[in-house]
Amino acid sequence: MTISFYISRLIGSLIITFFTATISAQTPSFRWEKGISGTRKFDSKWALNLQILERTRFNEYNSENLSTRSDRMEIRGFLTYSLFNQRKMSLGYMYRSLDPFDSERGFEHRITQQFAFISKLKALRITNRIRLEERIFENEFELRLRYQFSNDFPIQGESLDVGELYLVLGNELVLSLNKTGEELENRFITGIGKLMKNSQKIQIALVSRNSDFISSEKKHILQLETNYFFIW
Amino acid sequence: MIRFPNLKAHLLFSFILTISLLSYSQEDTKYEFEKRINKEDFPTQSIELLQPFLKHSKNEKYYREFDGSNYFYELKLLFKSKNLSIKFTNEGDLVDIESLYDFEELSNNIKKTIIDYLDNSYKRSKIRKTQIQYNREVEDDGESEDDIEFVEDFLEKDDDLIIRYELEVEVMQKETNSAEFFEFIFNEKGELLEKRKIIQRDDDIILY
Repeated sequence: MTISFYISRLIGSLIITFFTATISAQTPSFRWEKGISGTRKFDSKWALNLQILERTRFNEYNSENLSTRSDRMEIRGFLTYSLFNQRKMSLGYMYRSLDPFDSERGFEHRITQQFAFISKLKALRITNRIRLEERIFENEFELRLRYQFSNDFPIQGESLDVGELYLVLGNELVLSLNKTGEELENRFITGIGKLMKNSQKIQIALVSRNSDFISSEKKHILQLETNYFFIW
Repeated sequence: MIRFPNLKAHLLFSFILTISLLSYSQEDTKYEFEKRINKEDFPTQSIELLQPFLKHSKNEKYYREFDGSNYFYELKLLFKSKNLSIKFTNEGDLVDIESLYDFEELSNNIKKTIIDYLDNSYKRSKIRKTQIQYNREVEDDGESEDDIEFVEDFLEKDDDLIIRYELEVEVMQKETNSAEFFEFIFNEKGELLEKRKIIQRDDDIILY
């Protein structure tokens, strides 16, 4: 009864995500991001996270023509310091190859400062995450401020045990500032994951990205994200 | 027209995900869990014992638990504005009753003793959860009372029940300044009986 209740809620969230993406644009750009994330905990204060991600773009904005291509590959690293009272500070770097398999590929260097604070309400874990990003392109610089509010909880019981499923729901506002102006984007995230042995997790999420709220040039992305997380 | 210039990348990710799924399929079956179950799957004798609670309770949730070596049954419910957890053995015998409290609700003496202990032992501390654990009374002849008497005593708020204070606390160690979570169990005088480290849920899925 409980599983069916949560699954129905998840399906409801997925439908809302899909619905909001499709009504706000004629045709969203459909994408699929695959990632592997490994975290090394040195002690109770310091942790290092490394990730490899690749994203496939199936169609362009407002285009119904299928043109599948890999539009980015990236590596990321975060060094995180845990403070008292469930607060965490991170410093991150990312190198992204844009259109990595095309002859005219681009790149991005990204430096991230992050502050997160976590609270718990029974089984519900609530996370507030603030990020400041400096994005460095070949001929451009962009500053980006992101705020994400998310929560995750196990489907059964108050603790997430091995073999159990968990749900993730969240929303993120992304404000970009560059020499041409500013852009505001909203990202709604809904996902389901499974905890396996040795803290491994497999997670599938659907992200609806809506931009730009400020200008009239609205872009819509519906992105499937499949991630494998492990602790080493 | 569909192009697949990223075939190598797809193959690499598919390979690694396959390896991870294979490792999952070989996992050991022995692990701790807390699983929601239906009322019908709870021991009949325990349900009968719980009738005085169930007549006036709300939000009943039934669980099956495994702590790595023993199986238990647990009922969580709201009874007279208190969140209770009532735990039974695999055979349906009553283990203990826990009631969720605000730390400030405890008596001043107990609060002071516990806070003094935390202040002396750690650089900083923050109490995240407070429960009072009620254990069955031990009679003068050394015999423990039976389950029915235990429930009656709890409902009558009998002073002879053995009380323990179970606290989940985030602490900052004096030497290393590292933040850690512990479960502390204090006796009715506020003296420490047990201390157990709590492993927090991994935060990699929410931080990165």
